[in-house]
Amino acid sequence: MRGTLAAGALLVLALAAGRPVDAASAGASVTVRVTQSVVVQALLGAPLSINDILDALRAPAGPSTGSVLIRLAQIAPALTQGVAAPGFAADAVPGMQAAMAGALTLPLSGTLQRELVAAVSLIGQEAGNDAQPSITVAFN
Amino acid sequence: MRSRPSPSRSTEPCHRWVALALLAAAGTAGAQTLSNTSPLSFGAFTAGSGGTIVLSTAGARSKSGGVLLVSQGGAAAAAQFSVTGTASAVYTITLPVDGTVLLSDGSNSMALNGFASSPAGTGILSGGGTAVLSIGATLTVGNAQAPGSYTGSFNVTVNYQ
Amino acid sequence: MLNSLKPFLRHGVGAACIAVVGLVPPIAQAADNASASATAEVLVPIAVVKATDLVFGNVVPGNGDITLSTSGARTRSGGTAFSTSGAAPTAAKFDITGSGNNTFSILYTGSDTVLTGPAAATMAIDWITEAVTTATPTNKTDETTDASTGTLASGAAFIYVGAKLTVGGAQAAGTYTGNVVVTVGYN
Repeated sequence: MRGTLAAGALLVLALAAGRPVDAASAGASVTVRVTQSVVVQALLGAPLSINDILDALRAPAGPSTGSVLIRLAQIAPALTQGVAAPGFAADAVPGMQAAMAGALTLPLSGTLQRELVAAVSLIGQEAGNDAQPSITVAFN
Repeated sequence: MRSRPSPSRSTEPCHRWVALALLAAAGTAGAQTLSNTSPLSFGAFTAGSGGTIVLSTAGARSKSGGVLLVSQGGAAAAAQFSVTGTASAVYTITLPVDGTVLLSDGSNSMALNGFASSPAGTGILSGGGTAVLSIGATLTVGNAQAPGSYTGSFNVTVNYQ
Repeated sequence: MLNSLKPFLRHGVGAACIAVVGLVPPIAQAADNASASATAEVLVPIAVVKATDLVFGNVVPGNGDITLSTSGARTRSGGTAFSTSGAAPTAAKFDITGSGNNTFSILYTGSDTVLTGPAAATMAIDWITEAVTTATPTNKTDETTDASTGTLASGAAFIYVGAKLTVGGAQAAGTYTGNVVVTVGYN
């Protein structure tokens, strides 16, 4: 019985292999987490105060998990003031500096003390969309 | 009158004269030589569940069973020998019999049988007294034959017919 | 002729013997033998194991691309963005073992067009692949050509797989998954 069971198992394995005997295979999983965006306010306009941002950050978390990002549809000069406020930082986004007009001095790395903001990206300038002065915040 | 010598007495000196004549002939006619000019190589392969690899006298490989031939790591080739001797002489070729040749890596071995030659059996030296001999054979690869470099050697004999 | 043969006759050599001597052909009875070496190379069966999965980390909806290089570095274009919090991004890594410095072919299968997320939402994906002889990827970001062959160095090689991900403006939030399978064989 043991002999036939072993032979049967080997046959199942051989059939399950489904590839030439001379080849070897291995697989890796691929995962991406898409975080949810929540539009906090539309047409915030400029100047934008850091309080607006903080209000958005304090809003209830959305159903999906992920880090919080602030996306600027357009250069918001007031945000430069927010940048000056302690604890506000943004991740470097390639091309962002070049797309800015004026002296926008966003720090290149770091995390918000409130552990909510993780990255900032500029969309309007790079995508040619300069008519959307809204901020979109994605919650953790 | 001298009596005719007895048959036994006459054959013995006859053999001596024949031997002397042959000796003289050997010194003047072409002695046959055989030399190996290139080795026999089966190239590289994976053993898998084992099988056989036939190397033709033209140096082409074919396999049976679970052996997988790989086209890299040294080209497969039939062994080549050079024969010299008397012009247009016929010569016989003697190859190793089955069960006498092994390739070994120091601890594991594979049997080399089914030797074949081109020309097969006998050959004829050219007008210049030369010929080329190609030798192929069949290698038996064991199930999960241990990986490594295997070597061995075999002997070939040629005889004037 | 018989007179010249008289000395032979005196020594008791018969006429038949002389005839035989006369007929001996001028060929040596020489034979010769030579030996040749025979060689064969049995290769270690080629094998591949996965060492690292491909992880993009967190990305934000927006029309654009996120590129994960073979070194695990992310770059973006268009309206999408990635976050540095969340899972650390890594390229997939496969370890190959075999014999010596032999070459091998590589085949990629699996989710080679889309990753699938919640409610069957999908995102287009294109592999970025390379095969190297040391465990050091070259930060390749080009997804247009895949490494279809590799070379072992002292019996070892590595395959790194990154990818270019196309994110949509209204990409549904959630976890998207897929797999990448590499198949290798001596060639």
